[in-house]
Amino acid sequence: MVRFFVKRYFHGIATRRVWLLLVFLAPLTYGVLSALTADRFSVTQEIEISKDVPVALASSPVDFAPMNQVVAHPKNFLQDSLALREIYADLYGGMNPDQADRRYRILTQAVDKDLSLTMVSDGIAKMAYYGDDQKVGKTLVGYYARRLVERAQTGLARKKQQSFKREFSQQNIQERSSAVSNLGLVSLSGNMNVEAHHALWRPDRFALLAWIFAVSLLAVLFLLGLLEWADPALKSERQIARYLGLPILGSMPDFNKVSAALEGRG
Amino acid sequence: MCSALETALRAPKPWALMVTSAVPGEGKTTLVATLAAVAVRQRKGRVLAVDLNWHAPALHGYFGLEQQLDIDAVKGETSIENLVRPSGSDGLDILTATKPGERFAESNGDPTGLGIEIIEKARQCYDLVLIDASPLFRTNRRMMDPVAISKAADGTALVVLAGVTPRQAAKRACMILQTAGANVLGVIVNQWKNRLV
Repeated sequence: MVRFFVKRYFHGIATRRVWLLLVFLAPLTYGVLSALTADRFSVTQEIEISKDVPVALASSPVDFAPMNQVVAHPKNFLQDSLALREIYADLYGGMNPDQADRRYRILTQAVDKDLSLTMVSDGIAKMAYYGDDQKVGKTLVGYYARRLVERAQTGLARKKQQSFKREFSQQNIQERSSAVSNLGLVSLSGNMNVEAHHALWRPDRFALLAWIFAVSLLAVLFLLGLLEWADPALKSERQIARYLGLPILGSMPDFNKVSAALEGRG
Repeated sequence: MCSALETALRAPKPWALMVTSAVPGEGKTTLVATLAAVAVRQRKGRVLAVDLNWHAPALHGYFGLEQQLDIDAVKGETSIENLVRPSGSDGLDILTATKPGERFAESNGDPTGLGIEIIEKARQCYDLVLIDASPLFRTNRRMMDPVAISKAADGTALVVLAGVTPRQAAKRACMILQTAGANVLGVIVNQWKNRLV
């Protein structure tokens, strides 16, 4: 009995094999849509800042580090739990995200992997995001660019204070002050630049594509099974005899095949 | 298959077997032509294959004949032997359907009565009468009612095309024939297109 149903199922698939093309419909739709949809965004903000500008450290109320050191080790500047909480609040509301919160984890990963701080030239630094979430990118770049400017201004103030404390000579104070002011103003340069990127194929789409294909295959196989099950046609002699309650007097083969076989032999 | 039908029939000669199906295109004509050829080969006596599926006649095509039956001749006193056509095999004659385009006028009465009359006449001259009848469903008024004709035959065989015939239609056909008092001998399964075998 089970053998008959299995045989009937495969027969149903073979009969409606054209339906198997439906398996490719969903993956193809996904492929086309993902190729047409912008799925990577680059967000950049340039900052006017010299590489020698002191940037106040968050870990200390008095210390600072020159900009070139911040650029050399940007994680110290970017991975600040308070900053992450403020960004989380900007994006999703609420200042105390659970560490297990998926959105918080994604945000942390975005800061770690997708955000960068580089010196474009001596007077220009660039905060850049390249990732798959435009909103997150704009928030991160905007936040950290403003933060860098604020820290740099704080750093300049701290450096001035240290100069006053260390040097008592009026002349030296004037020299130091002029040296600090020569570092120039720190500010955002121009507007934030946002670019959307398309691609025909990206390797990271493969996993989702494979899932879609597998689910489509299962769905189509299930559908074919359902169609075969719902097919009201009588399928076998045994089924006919049981259903009609009549004896089977005989059966006729496919005479076309018989003729072909006889012609082949003849 | 012939032996199975004979056993199922358990009737002395002459006997008339009607072949019908639930819906069109099940293989009735193929079965009648095959049975007729096999019966002649097995020397079952004189065999007549009658095409009473006048709505969609096809039996003549299996033997290379034309549809030539004259309705008026059937209604007259003419013997059936004057109406049949030789099949080309000894002992096998064919009674084709009416000429193409020939229709029953209101005055001609019902075609079913004519069909029953043909069967009665055929039984007088032949040992075995095989009747290719219309399907039970999708009937129209030009068709002979296979249920009524089945009562004039000694037995009825129902053809089922495996993998195609809807089970509800086959069941209904079977029930209608049995309720009408037909001697339904059993089912002959046409395996054409059936890949399950």
